[in-house]
Amino acid sequence: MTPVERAQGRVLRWVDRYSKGLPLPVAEERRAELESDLHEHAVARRDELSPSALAREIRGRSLRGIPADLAWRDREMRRFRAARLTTMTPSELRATSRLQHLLYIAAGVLAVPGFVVAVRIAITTNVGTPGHAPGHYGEPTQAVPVFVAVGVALAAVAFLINTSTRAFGVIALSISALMLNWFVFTSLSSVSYQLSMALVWPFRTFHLPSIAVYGYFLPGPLLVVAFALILGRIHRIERNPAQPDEAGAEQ
Amino acid sequence: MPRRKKGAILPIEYDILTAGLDSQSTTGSFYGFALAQTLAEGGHALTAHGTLYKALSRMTEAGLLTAEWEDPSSAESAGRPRRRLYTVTGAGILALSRRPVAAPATSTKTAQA
Repeated sequence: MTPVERAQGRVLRWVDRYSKGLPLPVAEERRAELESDLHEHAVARRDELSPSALAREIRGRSLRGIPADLAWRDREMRRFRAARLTTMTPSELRATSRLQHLLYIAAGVLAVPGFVVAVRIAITTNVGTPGHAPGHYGEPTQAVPVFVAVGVALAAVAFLINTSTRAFGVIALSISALMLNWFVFTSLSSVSYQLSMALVWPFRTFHLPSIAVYGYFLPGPLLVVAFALILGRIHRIERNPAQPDEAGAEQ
Repeated sequence: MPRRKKGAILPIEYDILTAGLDSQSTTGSFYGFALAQTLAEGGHALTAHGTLYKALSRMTEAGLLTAEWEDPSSAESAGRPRRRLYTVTGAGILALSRRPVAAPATSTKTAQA
Protein backbone atom coordinates (compact mmCIF):
# COMPACT_ATOMS: atom_id res chain seq x y z
CA MET A 1 0.00 0.00 0.00
CA THR A 2 1.41 3.41 -1.00
CA PRO A 3 1.56 6.40 1.40
CA VAL A 4 -1.21 8.08 -0.63
CA GLU A 5 -3.47 5.04 -0.35
CA ARG A 6 -2.83 4.88 3.39
CA ALA A 7 -3.72 8.58 3.76
CA GLN A 8 -6.88 8.09 1.68
CA GLY A 9 -7.83 5.09 3.80
CA ARG A 10 -7.41 7.13 6.98
CA VAL A 11 -9.58 9.94 5.64
CA LEU A 12 -12.34 7.51 4.67
CA ARG A 13 -12.17 5.80 8.07
CA TRP A 14 -12.56 9.22 9.67
CA VAL A 15 -15.59 9.91 7.42
CA ASP A 16 -17.12 6.61 8.55
CA ARG A 17 -16.48 7.54 12.16
CA TYR A 18 -18.00 11.00 12.17
CA SER A 19 -20.96 9.98 10.00
CA LYS A 20 -21.78 6.96 12.20
CA GLY A 21 -25.35 7.00 13.44
CA LEU A 22 -26.54 9.47 10.80
CA PRO A 23 -29.21 8.44 8.29
CA LEU A 24 -27.62 6.14 5.74
CA PRO A 25 -28.25 8.35 2.64
CA VAL A 26 -26.59 11.32 4.36
CA ALA A 27 -23.57 9.26 5.42
CA GLU A 28 -23.27 7.60 2.01
CA GLU A 29 -23.44 10.91 0.20
CA ARG A 30 -20.67 12.42 2.33
CA ARG A 31 -18.46 9.35 1.83
CA ALA A 32 -19.02 9.33 -1.94
CA GLU A 33 -18.14 13.02 -2.17
CA LEU A 34 -14.94 12.48 -0.20
CA GLU A 35 -14.00 9.42 -2.31
CA SER A 36 -14.32 11.59 -5.40
CA ASP A 37 -12.29 14.41 -3.81
CA LEU A 38 -9.50 12.05 -2.74
CA HIS A 39 -9.29 10.53 -6.20
CA GLU A 40 -9.24 13.93 -7.95
CA HIS A 41 -6.66 15.23 -5.47
CA ALA A 42 -4.32 12.30 -6.07
CA VAL A 43 -4.66 12.55 -9.87
CA ALA A 44 -4.19 16.33 -9.96
CA ARG A 45 -1.13 16.44 -7.73
CA ARG A 46 0.72 13.16 -8.39
CA ASP A 47 3.03 14.80 -10.95
CA GLU A 48 3.79 17.82 -8.74
CA LEU A 49 4.44 16.13 -5.38
CA SER A 50 6.23 13.05 -4.12
CA PRO A 51 3.92 10.30 -2.77
CA SER A 52 4.80 11.15 0.83
CA ALA A 53 4.27 14.91 0.30
CA LEU A 54 0.91 14.21 -1.37
CA ALA A 55 -0.08 11.94 1.52
CA ARG A 56 0.87 14.71 3.96
CA GLU A 57 -1.22 17.21 2.01
CA ILE A 58 -4.24 14.86 2.07
CA ARG A 59 -3.85 14.26 5.80
CA GLY A 60 -3.48 18.00 6.39
CA ARG A 61 -6.72 18.79 4.57
CA SER A 62 -8.48 16.18 6.65
CA LEU A 63 -7.02 17.32 9.98
CA ARG A 64 -7.75 21.01 9.38
CA GLY A 65 -11.34 20.14 8.56
CA ILE A 66 -12.05 18.17 11.74
CA PRO A 67 -13.92 21.01 13.57
CA ALA A 68 -16.09 21.58 10.49
CA ASP A 69 -16.72 17.83 10.16
CA LEU A 70 -17.90 17.66 13.76
CA ALA A 71 -20.07 20.78 13.34
CA TRP A 72 -21.61 19.21 10.23
CA ARG A 73 -22.28 15.98 12.11
CA ASP A 74 -23.85 17.90 14.99
CA ARG A 75 -26.15 19.80 12.62
CA GLU A 76 -27.20 16.64 10.74
CA MET A 77 -27.72 14.73 13.97
CA ARG A 78 -29.92 17.45 15.46
CA ARG A 79 -31.99 17.53 12.31
CA PHE A 80 -32.30 13.74 12.31
CA ARG A 81 -33.35 13.57 15.97
CA ALA A 82 -35.95 16.31 15.48
CA ALA A 83 -37.42 14.34 12.57
CA ARG A 84 -37.21 11.07 14.50
CA LEU A 85 -39.34 12.46 17.34
CA THR A 86 -42.31 12.54 14.97
CA THR A 87 -41.97 8.85 14.08
CA MET A 88 -41.35 7.37 17.55
CA THR A 89 -43.81 4.84 18.95
CA PRO A 90 -45.61 5.69 22.26
CA SER A 91 -43.42 3.20 24.15
CA GLU A 92 -40.25 4.75 22.71
CA LEU A 93 -41.49 8.20 23.69
CA ARG A 94 -42.27 6.99 27.23
CA ALA A 95 -38.85 5.36 27.58
CA THR A 96 -37.08 8.48 26.34
CA SER A 97 -39.12 10.66 28.69
CA ARG A 98 -38.31 8.43 31.69
CA LEU A 99 -34.59 8.53 30.94
CA GLN A 100 -34.72 12.27 30.42
CA HIS A 101 -36.40 12.65 33.82
CA LEU A 102 -33.67 10.55 35.40
CA LEU A 103 -31.17 13.16 34.18
CA TYR A 104 -33.30 15.98 35.67
CA ILE A 105 -33.44 14.12 38.99
CA ALA A 106 -29.66 13.63 38.89
CA ALA A 107 -29.23 17.37 38.36
CA GLY A 108 -31.47 18.03 41.38
CA VAL A 109 -29.64 15.46 43.48
CA LEU A 110 -26.37 17.23 42.69
CA ALA A 111 -27.63 20.80 42.98
CA VAL A 112 -29.74 20.72 46.18
CA PRO A 113 -27.39 18.88 48.57
CA GLY A 114 -24.47 20.64 46.87
CA PHE A 115 -26.03 24.00 47.71
CA VAL A 116 -26.68 22.95 51.33
CA VAL A 117 -23.10 21.77 51.71
CA ALA A 118 -21.76 24.95 50.10
CA VAL A 119 -23.72 27.10 52.55
CA ARG A 120 -22.54 24.93 55.44
CA ILE A 121 -18.91 25.30 54.37
CA ALA A 122 -19.37 29.05 53.91
CA ILE A 123 -20.81 29.66 57.36
CA THR A 124 -18.79 27.10 59.30
CA THR A 125 -15.41 28.60 59.78
CA ASN A 126 -12.48 27.48 61.85
CA VAL A 127 -10.51 30.59 61.11
CA GLY A 128 -9.00 31.91 64.31
CA THR A 129 -9.46 28.67 66.24
CA PRO A 130 -6.35 27.17 67.83
CA GLY A 131 -4.35 25.02 65.43
CA HIS A 132 -6.01 26.39 62.29
CA ALA A 133 -3.66 26.93 59.37
CA PRO A 134 -4.48 29.01 56.27
CA GLY A 135 -5.87 26.90 53.41
CA HIS A 136 -7.07 24.10 55.71
CA TYR A 137 -10.65 23.00 56.26
CA GLY A 138 -12.73 25.81 57.64
CA GLU A 139 -11.88 28.54 55.13
CA PRO A 140 -15.14 30.10 53.78
CA THR A 141 -13.52 30.40 50.33
CA GLN A 142 -13.64 26.61 50.09
CA ALA A 143 -17.36 27.04 49.41
CA VAL A 144 -16.70 28.83 46.10
CA PRO A 145 -15.94 25.77 43.94
CA VAL A 146 -18.92 23.98 45.48
CA PHE A 147 -21.20 26.90 44.55
CA VAL A 148 -19.68 26.79 41.03
CA ALA A 149 -20.42 23.04 40.79
CA VAL A 150 -24.04 23.73 41.84
CA GLY A 151 -24.25 26.44 39.15
CA VAL A 152 -22.93 23.96 36.57
CA ALA A 153 -25.59 21.41 37.62
CA LEU A 154 -28.31 24.07 37.19
CA ALA A 155 -26.88 25.07 33.80
CA ALA A 156 -27.02 21.38 32.86
CA VAL A 157 -30.80 21.44 33.34
CA ALA A 158 -31.08 24.31 30.85
CA PHE A 159 -29.11 22.26 28.31
CA LEU A 160 -31.04 19.05 29.03
CA ILE A 161 -34.39 20.64 28.23
CA ASN A 162 -33.53 21.03 24.56
CA THR A 163 -32.93 17.83 22.57
CA SER A 164 -30.30 19.54 20.44
CA THR A 165 -28.19 20.53 23.46
CA ARG A 166 -28.85 17.46 25.62
CA ALA A 167 -25.34 16.05 25.15
CA PHE A 168 -23.89 19.33 26.47
CA GLY A 169 -26.23 18.98 29.45
CA VAL A 170 -24.84 15.53 30.21
CA ILE A 171 -21.28 16.88 29.93
CA ALA A 172 -22.17 19.70 32.35
CA LEU A 173 -23.76 17.18 34.76
CA SER A 174 -20.60 15.08 34.62
CA ILE A 175 -18.38 18.10 35.34
CA SER A 176 -20.63 19.07 38.24
CA ALA A 177 -20.53 15.53 39.66
CA LEU A 178 -16.73 15.38 39.48
CA MET A 179 -16.37 18.85 41.03
CA LEU A 180 -18.78 18.07 43.87
CA ASN A 181 -17.08 14.72 44.43
CA TRP A 182 -13.72 16.35 44.79
CA PHE A 183 -14.49 19.59 46.62
CA VAL A 184 -17.24 18.35 48.95
CA PHE A 185 -15.47 15.19 49.98
CA THR A 186 -12.18 16.90 50.50
CA SER A 187 -13.90 19.59 52.57
CA LEU A 188 -16.10 17.20 54.51
CA SER A 189 -13.98 14.19 55.26
CA SER A 190 -16.71 12.77 57.52
CA VAL A 191 -19.06 12.50 54.52
CA SER A 192 -16.35 10.78 52.55
CA TYR A 193 -15.64 8.39 55.40
CA GLN A 194 -19.29 7.40 55.87
CA LEU A 195 -19.76 6.83 52.15
CA SER A 196 -16.56 4.83 51.94
CA MET A 197 -17.65 2.60 54.81
CA ALA A 198 -20.96 1.97 53.09
CA LEU A 199 -19.23 1.15 49.81
CA VAL A 200 -16.59 -1.18 51.26
CA TRP A 201 -18.98 -2.99 53.60
CA PRO A 202 -19.94 -5.71 51.06
CA PHE A 203 -16.28 -6.42 50.36
CA ARG A 204 -15.14 -6.40 54.01
CA THR A 205 -11.99 -4.53 53.02
CA PHE A 206 -11.61 -2.09 55.87
CA HIS A 207 -8.15 -0.85 55.12
CA LEU A 208 -7.46 2.83 54.69
CA PRO A 209 -6.32 2.88 51.03
CA SER A 210 -9.62 1.27 49.94
CA ILE A 211 -11.62 3.72 51.99
CA ALA A 212 -9.72 6.66 50.51
CA VAL A 213 -10.15 5.40 46.94
CA TYR A 214 -13.85 4.58 47.29
CA GLY A 215 -14.73 7.70 49.17
CA TYR A 216 -12.70 10.31 47.37
CA PHE A 217 -12.50 9.10 43.81
CA LEU A 218 -15.20 6.57 42.98
CA PRO A 219 -18.59 8.36 43.36
CA GLY A 220 -17.92 11.05 40.72
CA PRO A 221 -16.68 8.71 37.99
CA LEU A 222 -19.52 6.28 38.78
CA LEU A 223 -22.04 9.08 38.21
CA VAL A 224 -20.30 10.08 34.97
CA VAL A 225 -20.57 6.48 33.72
CA ALA A 226 -24.25 6.39 34.72
CA PHE A 227 -24.97 9.64 32.85
CA ALA A 228 -23.15 8.35 29.75
CA LEU A 229 -25.15 5.11 29.87
CA ILE A 230 -28.44 7.02 30.13
CA LEU A 231 -27.49 9.28 27.21
CA GLY A 232 -26.38 6.28 25.15
CA ARG A 233 -29.69 4.53 25.86
CA ILE A 234 -31.66 7.63 24.76
CA HIS A 235 -29.60 7.81 21.57
CA ARG A 236 -30.19 4.12 20.84
CA ILE A 237 -33.94 4.60 21.20
CA GLU A 238 -33.86 7.67 19.00
CA ARG A 239 -31.81 5.96 16.31
CA ASN A 240 -33.89 4.86 13.39
CA PRO A 241 -34.58 1.12 13.87
CA ALA A 242 -34.13 0.53 10.13
CA GLN A 243 -30.64 1.94 10.22
CA PRO A 244 -27.64 -0.37 10.62
CA ASP A 245 -25.31 0.32 13.52
CA GLU A 246 -22.30 1.02 11.33
CA ALA A 247 -23.79 3.61 8.99
CA GLY A 248 -21.68 4.18 5.97
CA ALA A 249 -18.96 1.78 7.06
CA GLU A 250 -20.08 -1.12 4.92
CA GLN A 251 -19.38 0.41 1.55
CA MET B 1 -19.23 27.03 18.40
CA PRO B 2 -21.24 30.25 17.92
CA ARG B 3 -24.40 29.98 15.86
CA ARG B 4 -24.51 32.15 12.79
CA LYS B 5 -27.44 34.47 12.05
CA LYS B 6 -30.08 32.92 9.84
CA GLY B 7 -29.41 33.86 6.22
CA ALA B 8 -25.91 35.17 6.96
CA ILE B 9 -23.29 34.29 4.36
CA LEU B 10 -19.73 33.59 5.43
CA PRO B 11 -16.66 34.91 3.54
CA ILE B 12 -15.81 31.40 2.30
CA GLU B 13 -19.31 31.09 0.89
CA TYR B 14 -18.87 34.31 -1.08
CA ASP B 15 -15.55 32.93 -2.32
CA ILE B 16 -17.27 29.71 -3.38
CA LEU B 17 -19.95 31.66 -5.25
CA THR B 18 -17.30 33.73 -7.05
CA ALA B 19 -15.11 30.73 -7.93
CA GLY B 20 -18.16 28.63 -8.83
CA LEU B 21 -19.49 31.26 -11.23
CA ASP B 22 -16.09 31.45 -12.93
CA SER B 23 -15.95 27.67 -13.33
CA GLN B 24 -19.49 27.21 -14.52
CA SER B 25 -19.08 29.91 -17.17
CA THR B 26 -16.64 27.55 -18.91
CA THR B 27 -17.64 24.04 -17.82
CA GLY B 28 -21.31 24.48 -16.90
CA SER B 29 -20.82 23.20 -13.35
CA PHE B 30 -18.10 22.53 -10.80
CA TYR B 31 -17.20 19.85 -8.25
CA GLY B 32 -15.56 19.83 -4.85
CA PHE B 33 -11.89 19.32 -5.60
CA ALA B 34 -11.90 21.61 -8.66
CA LEU B 35 -13.41 24.30 -6.44
CA ALA B 36 -10.71 23.71 -3.78
CA GLN B 37 -8.07 24.18 -6.48
CA THR B 38 -9.64 27.43 -7.69
CA LEU B 39 -9.87 28.73 -4.12
CA ALA B 40 -6.21 27.83 -3.59
CA GLU B 41 -5.00 29.83 -6.58
CA GLY B 42 -2.39 32.35 -5.57
CA GLY B 43 -0.38 29.93 -3.45
CA HIS B 44 -2.91 29.23 -0.67
CA ALA B 45 -3.37 25.78 0.81
CA LEU B 46 -6.20 23.61 -0.50
CA THR B 47 -9.39 24.13 1.48
CA ALA B 48 -9.85 21.48 4.16
CA HIS B 49 -12.33 18.68 3.42
CA GLY B 50 -14.60 19.50 6.34
CA THR B 51 -14.65 23.24 5.66
CA LEU B 52 -15.35 22.81 1.95
CA TYR B 53 -18.08 20.16 2.10
CA LYS B 54 -19.82 21.66 5.11
CA ALA B 55 -20.04 24.98 3.25
CA LEU B 56 -21.25 23.30 0.05
CA SER B 57 -23.88 21.35 1.97
CA ARG B 58 -25.17 24.44 3.74
CA MET B 59 -25.21 26.52 0.55
CA THR B 60 -27.15 23.81 -1.28
CA GLU B 61 -29.73 23.71 1.50
CA ALA B 62 -29.94 27.50 1.46
CA GLY B 63 -30.69 27.43 -2.29
CA LEU B 64 -27.50 29.26 -3.27
CA LEU B 65 -26.27 26.18 -5.16
CA THR B 66 -27.87 23.16 -6.76
CA ALA B 67 -26.18 19.79 -6.60
CA GLU B 68 -26.59 16.59 -8.58
CA TRP B 69 -24.56 13.44 -8.96
CA GLU B 70 -22.81 12.91 -12.24
CA ASP B 71 -24.12 10.21 -14.55
CA PRO B 72 -22.47 6.92 -13.42
CA SER B 73 -21.64 5.92 -16.98
CA SER B 74 -19.56 9.09 -17.56
CA ALA B 75 -17.61 8.48 -14.36
CA GLU B 76 -17.15 4.81 -15.21
CA SER B 77 -15.86 5.56 -18.69
CA ALA B 78 -13.39 8.06 -17.20
CA GLY B 79 -12.31 5.48 -14.58
CA ARG B 80 -13.02 7.60 -11.51
CA PRO B 81 -15.64 7.95 -8.75
CA ARG B 82 -18.75 9.96 -9.58
CA ARG B 83 -18.45 13.71 -9.02
CA ARG B 84 -21.11 15.76 -7.31
CA LEU B 85 -21.72 18.64 -9.68
CA TYR B 86 -22.74 22.04 -8.35
CA THR B 87 -24.11 25.12 -10.07
CA VAL B 88 -24.68 28.58 -8.65
CA THR B 89 -28.39 29.45 -8.65
CA GLY B 90 -30.08 32.79 -9.26
CA ALA B 91 -30.33 33.19 -5.49
CA GLY B 92 -26.56 32.63 -5.28
CA ILE B 93 -25.89 35.29 -7.91
CA LEU B 94 -28.22 37.69 -6.11
CA ALA B 95 -26.49 37.00 -2.76
CA LEU B 96 -23.10 37.65 -4.35
CA SER B 97 -24.30 40.93 -5.86
CA ARG B 98 -25.45 42.01 -2.38
CA ARG B 99 -22.12 41.17 -0.77
CA PRO B 100 -21.20 43.86 1.76
CA VAL B 101 -18.64 46.26 0.26
CA ALA B 102 -16.40 46.10 3.33
CA ALA B 103 -15.76 42.38 2.86
CA PRO B 104 -12.57 41.62 0.89
CA ALA B 105 -12.95 40.16 -2.61
CA THR B 106 -11.05 36.99 -1.68
CA SER B 107 -10.44 35.86 1.84
CA THR B 108 -7.00 34.31 2.14
CA LYS B 109 -7.73 32.99 5.59
CA THR B 110 -10.81 31.09 4.51
CA ALA B 111 -9.04 29.65 1.50
CA GLN B 112 -6.37 28.31 3.82
CA ALA B 113 -8.82 26.91 6.36
